[in-house]
Amino acid sequence: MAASVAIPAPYSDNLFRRVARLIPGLFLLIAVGYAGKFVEQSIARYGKAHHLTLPNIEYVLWAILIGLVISNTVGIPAAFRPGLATYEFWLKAGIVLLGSRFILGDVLKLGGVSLVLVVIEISVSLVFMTALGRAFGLTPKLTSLLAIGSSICGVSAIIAAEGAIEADEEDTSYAIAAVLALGAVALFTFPLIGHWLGMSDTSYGLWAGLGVDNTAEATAAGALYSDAAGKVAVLAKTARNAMIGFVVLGYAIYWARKQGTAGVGNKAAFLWRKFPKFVLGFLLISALATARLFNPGQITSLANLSRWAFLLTFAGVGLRTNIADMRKQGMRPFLVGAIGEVAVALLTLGLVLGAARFLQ
Amino acid sequence: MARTAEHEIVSEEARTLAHKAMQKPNWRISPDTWAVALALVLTALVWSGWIKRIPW
Repeated sequence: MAASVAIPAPYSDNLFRRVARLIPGLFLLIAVGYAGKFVEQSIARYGKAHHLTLPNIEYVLWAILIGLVISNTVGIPAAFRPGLATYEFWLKAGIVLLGSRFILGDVLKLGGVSLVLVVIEISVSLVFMTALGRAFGLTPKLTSLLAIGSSICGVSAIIAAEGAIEADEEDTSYAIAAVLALGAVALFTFPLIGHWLGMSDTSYGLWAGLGVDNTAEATAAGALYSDAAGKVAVLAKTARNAMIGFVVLGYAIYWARKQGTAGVGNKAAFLWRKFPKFVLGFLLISALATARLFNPGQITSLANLSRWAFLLTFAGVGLRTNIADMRKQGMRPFLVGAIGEVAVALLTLGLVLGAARFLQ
Repeated sequence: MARTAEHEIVSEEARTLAHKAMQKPNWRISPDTWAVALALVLTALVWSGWIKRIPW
């Protein structure tokens, strides 16, 4: 009898399997997102049928809440996680499609104001977070990662910076955990404060885009306030995301000099590698809409496609938030992040209220 | 670099994301670029009339 030979499986991680692994989580995202939409519509229908005035709670909140309940009760089995992780992918596709609802002139005006505020916000929060990290005795690289995460764009910025400054996995995972936990808090506090202050959709959207770290949470925090605020939040957040490359490049050069390691090489190539490509996609679609390439029906279809993509994102935000995990984290980095976030939120609120007359 | 107590417990998702970031990327095209490509394809389909109407 021939001896059995262990044959390596050459196709064990082929494209088909990678796609197949995404399916359970994708179905869960669709189910939770659609359940949120279904609950919103059912409540509205019930109110109409019974002549009741019920509060209009948007599908955004329902999708997040249903996701939160699932994640924190039955939990998320491992088979669902690869598909759930695609919520960032849908977020970016949704942002690009949302470009169809912006005329380039609006993008330049609002984006221009946003960019000025973004530069101020990033500069102040980088300095503040660095000082705070030192005061609380955090490791220098964890401090750098927290500063980058809270000043620019949460998880994406931390991941972009991790390789550039050669941070280790523990520091990176801690910074990501802190940013995710604080994003979940901001998601519910920002709309409440916005309503309390009676902010306009534009001012609130700008504040959410500047003050909430992670793009998914910033988009959700804006959409929770109103559809118009959601649009502005995405635009402001996109302007902030566009700065990732520059800040990460600065940190990479700083750490390379400090550690005496090789520098970043070709800086233009580095910037291109780190630049979020969906910003370009958003601008391209917005330019096409400005050139009147789409008729009103097509713009509605593109906007609805963007809504479906965001629906999956909001479901993902709820499903990936685990309150038990948040409570287990150590206190010092979380405190640094929390104090920094409150300071950034207050700073950006002041900036937005100050810039309100330029936004009319 | 010395580990601090705060490093001991972090969320599973954060650890997974950080671990993935440490791996050498095996994507020729980043997920970010795929998302843009998908959005552009959908836009082209709507513009050309292949997709008539997307309801909400």
